[in-house]
Amino acid sequence: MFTMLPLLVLVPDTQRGLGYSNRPALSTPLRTAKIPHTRNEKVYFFPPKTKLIPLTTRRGTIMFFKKNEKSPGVEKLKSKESDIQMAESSEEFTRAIKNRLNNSSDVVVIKVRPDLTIIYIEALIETSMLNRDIIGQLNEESVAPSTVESQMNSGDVQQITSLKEAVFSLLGGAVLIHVEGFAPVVSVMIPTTDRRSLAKPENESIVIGPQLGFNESMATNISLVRRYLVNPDLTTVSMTRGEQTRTAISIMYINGIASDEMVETVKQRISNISVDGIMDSSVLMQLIEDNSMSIFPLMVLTERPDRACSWLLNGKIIIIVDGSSLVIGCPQSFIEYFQSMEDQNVKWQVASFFRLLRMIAMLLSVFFTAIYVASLTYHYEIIPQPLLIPLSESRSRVPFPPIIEALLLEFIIELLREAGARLPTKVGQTMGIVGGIVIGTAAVEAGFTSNILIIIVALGALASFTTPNFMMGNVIRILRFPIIILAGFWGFYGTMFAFCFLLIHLLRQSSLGSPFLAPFYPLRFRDWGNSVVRLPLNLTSKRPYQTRPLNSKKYDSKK
Amino acid sequence: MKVSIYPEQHHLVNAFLVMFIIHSAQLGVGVQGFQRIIYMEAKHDAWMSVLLSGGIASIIGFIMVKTLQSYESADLYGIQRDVYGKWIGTFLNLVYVSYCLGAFLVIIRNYIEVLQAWVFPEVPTWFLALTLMLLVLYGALGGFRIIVGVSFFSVFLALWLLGLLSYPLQYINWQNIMPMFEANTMDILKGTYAMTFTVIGFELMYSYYPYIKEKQKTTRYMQIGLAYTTFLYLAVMLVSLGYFSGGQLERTIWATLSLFKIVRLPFIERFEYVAITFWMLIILPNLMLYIWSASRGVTRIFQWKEKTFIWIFSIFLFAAIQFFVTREQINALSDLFGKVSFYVVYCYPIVLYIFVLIKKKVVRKGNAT
Amino acid sequence: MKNMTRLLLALFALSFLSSCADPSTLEKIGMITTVGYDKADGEEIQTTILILETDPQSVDSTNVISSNALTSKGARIKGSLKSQKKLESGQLRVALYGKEVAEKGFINLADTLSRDHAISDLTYLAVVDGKASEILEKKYEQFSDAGQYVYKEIEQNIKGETIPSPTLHEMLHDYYSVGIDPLMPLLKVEDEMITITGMAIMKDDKMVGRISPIEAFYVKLVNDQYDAGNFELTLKNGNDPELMEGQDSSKKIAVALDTIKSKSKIDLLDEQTLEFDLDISMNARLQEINQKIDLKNPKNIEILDEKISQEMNKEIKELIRYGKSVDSDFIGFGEVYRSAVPHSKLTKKKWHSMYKDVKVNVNIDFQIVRTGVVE
Repeated sequence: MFTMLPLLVLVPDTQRGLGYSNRPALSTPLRTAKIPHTRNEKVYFFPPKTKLIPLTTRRGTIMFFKKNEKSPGVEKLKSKESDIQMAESSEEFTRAIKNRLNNSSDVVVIKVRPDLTIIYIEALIETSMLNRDIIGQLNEESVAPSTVESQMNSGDVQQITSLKEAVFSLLGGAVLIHVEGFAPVVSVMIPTTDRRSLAKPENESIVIGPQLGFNESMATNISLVRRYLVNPDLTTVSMTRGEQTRTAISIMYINGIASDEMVETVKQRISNISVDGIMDSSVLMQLIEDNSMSIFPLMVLTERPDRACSWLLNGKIIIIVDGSSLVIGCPQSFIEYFQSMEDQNVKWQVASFFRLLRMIAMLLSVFFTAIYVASLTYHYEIIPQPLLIPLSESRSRVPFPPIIEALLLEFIIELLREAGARLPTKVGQTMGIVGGIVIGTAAVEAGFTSNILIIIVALGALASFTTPNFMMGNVIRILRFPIIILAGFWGFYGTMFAFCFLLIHLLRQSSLGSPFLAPFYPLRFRDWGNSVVRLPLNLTSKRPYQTRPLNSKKYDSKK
Repeated sequence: MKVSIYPEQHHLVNAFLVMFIIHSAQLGVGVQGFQRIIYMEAKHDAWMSVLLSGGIASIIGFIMVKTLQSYESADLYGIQRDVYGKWIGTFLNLVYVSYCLGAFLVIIRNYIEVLQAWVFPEVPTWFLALTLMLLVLYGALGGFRIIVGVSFFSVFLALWLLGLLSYPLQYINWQNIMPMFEANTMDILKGTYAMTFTVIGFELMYSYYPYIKEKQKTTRYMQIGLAYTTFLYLAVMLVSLGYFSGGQLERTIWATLSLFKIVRLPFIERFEYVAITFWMLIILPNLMLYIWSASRGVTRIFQWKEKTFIWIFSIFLFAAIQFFVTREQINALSDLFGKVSFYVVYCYPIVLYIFVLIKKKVVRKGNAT
Repeated sequence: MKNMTRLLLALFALSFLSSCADPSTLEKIGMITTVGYDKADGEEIQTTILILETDPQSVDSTNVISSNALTSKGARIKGSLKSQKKLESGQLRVALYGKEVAEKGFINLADTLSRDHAISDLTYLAVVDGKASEILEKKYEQFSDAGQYVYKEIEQNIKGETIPSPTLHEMLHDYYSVGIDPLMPLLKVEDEMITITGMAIMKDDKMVGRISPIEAFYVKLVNDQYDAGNFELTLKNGNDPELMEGQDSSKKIAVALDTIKSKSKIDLLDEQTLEFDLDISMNARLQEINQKIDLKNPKNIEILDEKISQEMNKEIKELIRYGKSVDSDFIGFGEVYRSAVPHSKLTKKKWHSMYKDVKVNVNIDFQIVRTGVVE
């Protein structure tokens, strides 16, 4: 069992009470067999070059870990420092540290006394704490690292013996105190704690419910979750990934509810990735999804702590990434993308109506324009007589075939949306409205498109925005294009081809090995109560099958 | 070759899904126009033929499961090998494989014919075949569970088509099916025989039986699936008999699709265009199950990888489709296949069951002495 | 494996270019909404087609093309030589047969419609008293699109339950049945309006006679059922002085009935003598009556019920007699016979020879359920 102290010092605030230290952070049998990891050789930071390992789960979906055979160069470069012994002379030690940090100008070296050298990186530490808690505490007796250690009253004090560890603790916000004549240095963690204050969730805003979102600090995020779930079984497992960024990652789940197998799978997948940097949890999500080739997101992100906690209660696993205000939840099924957190907070009839509405909106958004194109291009027979004249009159001035007309208009809508997203909020809104009205009206007047198509495309666009999940909303909008093209080439046959293809594709997907189309296939009527519609709470007292919970009873429905 | 196979736990499906597999494998291209061929034999008593063939199917289905249950977890390929020995067994296995491929060919070619006759006369056969093949491959390569998933959705998503039968109901004239019992028994039996092609599909139980989780419940769910199919066929037949007059039915090739012609909704009419293209979802499980069964067979014989055979077969079948161009050729193919399937599906299971019984008895005697 | 998938995808993309279906874009095709068939020289048929004009700037809302050919499809091919757009028949709503064509037999021309997969089974068929081309080519003052007008007119009258429905499906259904003859609306231009002047009576597929709209009401009454029909009928007061006390009893009473509900049943009594029982039970609301009659008196209502039943009975008997005289079984006694007699081996020819001997006992049970909102 090896501990990963250097990793822990990166997240000093959360180190206590989270159960890091006695849990094996990485427990891949593959690696433990190959690499010795005694205390003296705390060399191991990066997963070794990993091959694609098919992992078979109980459900039988074979999952692949992706893209693991990367950047051997980086590893070689880094491994050179692993065995360097630290110098006893402070001169040499300072030089070694500076060398390793490429003589960066923000490395500060202070000689407090002839025998005591303090090294830190300027912006990473709290200067007031340095003066009060470190320099102020050092006194005459501190002649050895152990005595220095005992004088410090800051929490995270430890002795470090390897240069590499020293460098990384420095980077994590530590002050190194070197005592002349001793190889081990004392590291005291006093990192700066500047972070955004808690704010409203912007993208998943709801009317009824808590108005609190995650922020970019993992410590804050974990504390938010812990405040919702005061439960000793809430377990956190920490890891660090990213060769350049060393991003801290925490997996959280409720022990005794979440499926052990899934927890193991998540751990294994995270430990198998090897990238140079994880800037956001969305990147991590793409790396650990079951199928990276699918256009559909197979895991889900949220910025709402209440949502993350309700997932945990359903037996899901959440992954928090330091520096990201979005939390990954898995496993996820297709239909869950059309649920909003608000559904739990309003009456069940209302929530059920909205859920059905969103499902219809999704189908409408994906297929409506395609059906228009197909019927006007090939199947004019199906147009009812009352619609025939308005349709053909509006089409008669348009010089393009329906497919070009539709693609053009869809393209304009996407342009407006994208432009709106890139511009500052206020400008974006104005532009959306002005652009929509002006371009729409002008396009009809100019005979570029028919006014009926404008209605259809606008309806489709509107419908796509009802999807509560941003990622899924994007997918739905993009899916329209190939389907319109298919409809433009082969009418209903093309549309149906697209439908069947999507159906088979979705059937083949899985999230953490659990089927993506649950609860439809495999059929679990019990779970329809809280997925297709939302039944009253006393009827939905069981956790969904999809997460394979160890304990499926959520609460006693009788009481 | 081992007689019994034990697929891994995660490849198994719940027994209750069997009813979806059974029904979706039965419902296919046959139902688009089975009224005419049965009417030609049994006249307005055609619905009795439908009922009778449903009854026969359920008896045969019962025998099939009995045969399979006399082994622990074997499929037809294993049983034939066990009963007939290496050479005859392998030969019969190959016959069954080619039967499955034949079924695939007939189904896909008939569907393409419908598409070309109604919707796209100008789209070439090879293109329609290629696109359908692509879907079949994508599904079948995903393994048995994916195929069952497609079956499930095909049954589930096609339920609304049943509601559209209410439109022809407005025009129905029950006088058309009177007087009852005018056809003699022979005519009704002939009608039942003519219906073979429409009813088959449940014989695939022979190849996927080892993949069912709770094997003791197989019979129940299989019978539910068969009963639902019979109910559906009976409903369609009764509506058609009432909606069309006799002479009209004899002239209508795809009577079921013609029933959709009069569906008129506020935003869409002429529903047959939607129904025909939607039929793609109904025949996909058919195609997938047949090609999967065929590849199971050769996999069992030659011990190669299943997926390789799916590829090989689809390329072979894609080429074979090109040889059937005219309606006459397609009809000849369908008729021939109908005859073959009568022997394979209705007669052979009984023979096999008897052989299995004999074999068991001999073995027991052998053990006793 | 991956390469294989890529290869297949590439093939698929390639086929995109090569095998796109043949488009018939809505505004690029000439949608035939109405077609009229008339007899031309010799065996030739004059086909008049009415094409929907989709250009809003156009003066006329339709486009009429007429051409002669041996087959109707041939005429369409010839017609497209005169058209700026590709002619398509998927939106056909009405097919009109000139009287001469109808008298020669319409079935070939109806069959060609049903053979074309693009044509709806709900297309209305009608006979024109005169030439079909005249109705379609004429310019009307009150409306611009004759095809639309005819379509809506027939549709409205079917919904209002004044005539039996004449869809292509029903015509073929009746034609291909053994014991029933089809019945089609008869149109004529009267006073610049296209009017339904009655129904054309067919023997097999040949027009042999006609009945008035009033008689058409009785046909539907016998054949079908009413849910909310309306009808006007005249009664001779006759010898019922109580009904109209103190008034001239020789005056005729006209009653208008609406929300008629009816059910009819035809039974074969004797298969040897071909005796049928026709039972009709109907009720209606008395909407209007042109004489002063005390409707508060329940007795009067009873008398009216009785009188109306008698009148209807008489009319229906007359109608059946007329049908027998032209040898057209538009009511469908043959079907009743076929469905009641097992192993009858009935054919069209056989039935027509038997039809003359049919005897029908008509029983009508009529009841006025309410007389309006005031008494």
